[in-house]
Amino acid sequence: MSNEATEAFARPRRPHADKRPASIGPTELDWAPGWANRTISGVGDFLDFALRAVALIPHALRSYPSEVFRYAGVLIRGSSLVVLFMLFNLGLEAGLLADTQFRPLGITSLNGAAVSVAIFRGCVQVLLGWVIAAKIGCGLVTEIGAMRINEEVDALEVMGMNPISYLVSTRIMAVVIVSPGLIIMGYWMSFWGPWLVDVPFLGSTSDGAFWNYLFALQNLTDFIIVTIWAVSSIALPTLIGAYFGYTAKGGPVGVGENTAKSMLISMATVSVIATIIIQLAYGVDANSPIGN
Amino acid sequence: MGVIVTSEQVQRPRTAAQRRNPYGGTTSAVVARMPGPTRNFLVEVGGMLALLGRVLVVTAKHPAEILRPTLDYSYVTLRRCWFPVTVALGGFIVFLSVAALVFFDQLGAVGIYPPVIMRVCIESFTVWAVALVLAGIVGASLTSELGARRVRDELDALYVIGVDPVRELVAPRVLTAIALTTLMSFPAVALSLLTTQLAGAYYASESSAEFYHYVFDNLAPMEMFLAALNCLIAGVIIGTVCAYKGMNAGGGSEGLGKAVNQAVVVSFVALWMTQTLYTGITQGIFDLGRFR
Repeated sequence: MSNEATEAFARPRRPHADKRPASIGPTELDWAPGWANRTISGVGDFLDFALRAVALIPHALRSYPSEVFRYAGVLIRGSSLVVLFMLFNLGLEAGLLADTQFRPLGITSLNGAAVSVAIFRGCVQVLLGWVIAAKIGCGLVTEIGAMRINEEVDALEVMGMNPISYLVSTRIMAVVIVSPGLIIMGYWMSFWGPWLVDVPFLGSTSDGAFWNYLFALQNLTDFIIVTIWAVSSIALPTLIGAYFGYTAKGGPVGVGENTAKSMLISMATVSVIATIIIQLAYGVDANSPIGN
Repeated sequence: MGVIVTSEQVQRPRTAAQRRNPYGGTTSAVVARMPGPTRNFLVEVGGMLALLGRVLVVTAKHPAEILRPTLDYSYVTLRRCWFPVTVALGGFIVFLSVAALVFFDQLGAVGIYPPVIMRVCIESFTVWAVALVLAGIVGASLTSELGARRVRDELDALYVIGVDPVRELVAPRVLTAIALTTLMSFPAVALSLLTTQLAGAYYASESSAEFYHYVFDNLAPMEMFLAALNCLIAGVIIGTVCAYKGMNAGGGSEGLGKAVNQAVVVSFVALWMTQTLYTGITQGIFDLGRFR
């Protein structure tokens, strides 16, 4: 066979190289420093992973419903008590601080209002996000990362199962099922904590005044905003944990490092979300009845 | 590596009772008869206290040898964690400021916003946020480093060649966690001061002169001392819990991941409980809430 014929029938090495539109350009920014390239490609990888995981939720519900409910049960049994206890503790602290700040001013009857404004609209969501990052996010890195290191994820693919659907989408769906109940019980605990400190222990507020001001400074709009906020504070650490578990490599050390990394990124992300949402929701309009 | 000790020196039994049977004392007999969860809890707490004690003894015996690796490790850790800590803490304080501003603006009392928010920050929330973020970042990486060495049997190898791992590996890391958390309280309080002032200027058009006047008129040096002491306690908890969990990790990558997860969750719970107790006790003793 002549040389020309070989060239004509040879498969091109990069078949789509010339078909790529010019606007996309190179995937690496040559002029940017290394950390910027790493950050951008890491965020891109994460978004790709997260979108695929969310898009596969219907597939997961159709194919592996038992896995969804099994993991929901694991969350309720293993994590919800810790989360609720933490929020109760946050409430105790908030009641104590509100009392120490308001007692010299003589407005301890407004303790419930402080809880409603500061704790219900922010502290609960951020601390919930941090606890979820520690308990559920780290747990996911551990679980999925160990499977990745032991090549069980590859084994799933060999058996013809979609590992993202089976391992990640099912868990995200379980978190979505569990989180509304968890959030509402969390609010409830964070209201009873300050009540316990302010009404029976310190006696600075009457029972009626506490509940009156607590519910006077919140309405349905608040509830919708903070619940959306709380769901996003729960969902993002979960997705970040699943991503770092799924991309673990390099033996046990890699899993340990990825666990620490997921913790770091989740905590910063939850704080950044808090800053953005408080600006969007309460930056201009306070949505409270005093003086209006 | 520092001075080499023999493995007999490292594991030498201290008393005659220990020589006969290390778990033969009255305390061990009482603990052994406890129900399962209580026994596990007591054994873990005892192990943590024993590890902390050994770290302190080793440090007191060889301060010069431990100082150098502690400084090196602190530098590495600080380089890794300064940015996430800043983002997480800044975001947390921003939404807290906005919530407080909304509340006091509606009451028509923006004048008491500066002292109240700074007191709340110094007494509780800044310290709390710093402790939680450092537990998530420094603690998790500490556990994963020590745990990876445990899982790969490197700690046993150190024993075999006659090097004390507590002295060479654990003590510098625990001391780093303690020192970093304590020293971090000062820049963290400075960051909260700046953030709350900027939030006041941006959302309520409060002049910076007025803000700083009210803040420094109403704060006492004792509050900063108490915040640093609070951070010291938090650092001891983070260092001890995470080092203990790392030293007792087991079972490959899954065991290591579980150890990191448990370390973060246990230190979170311990930090929140001590925080509430500490705030209650210091507020009761010092009566810091008075306005001038």
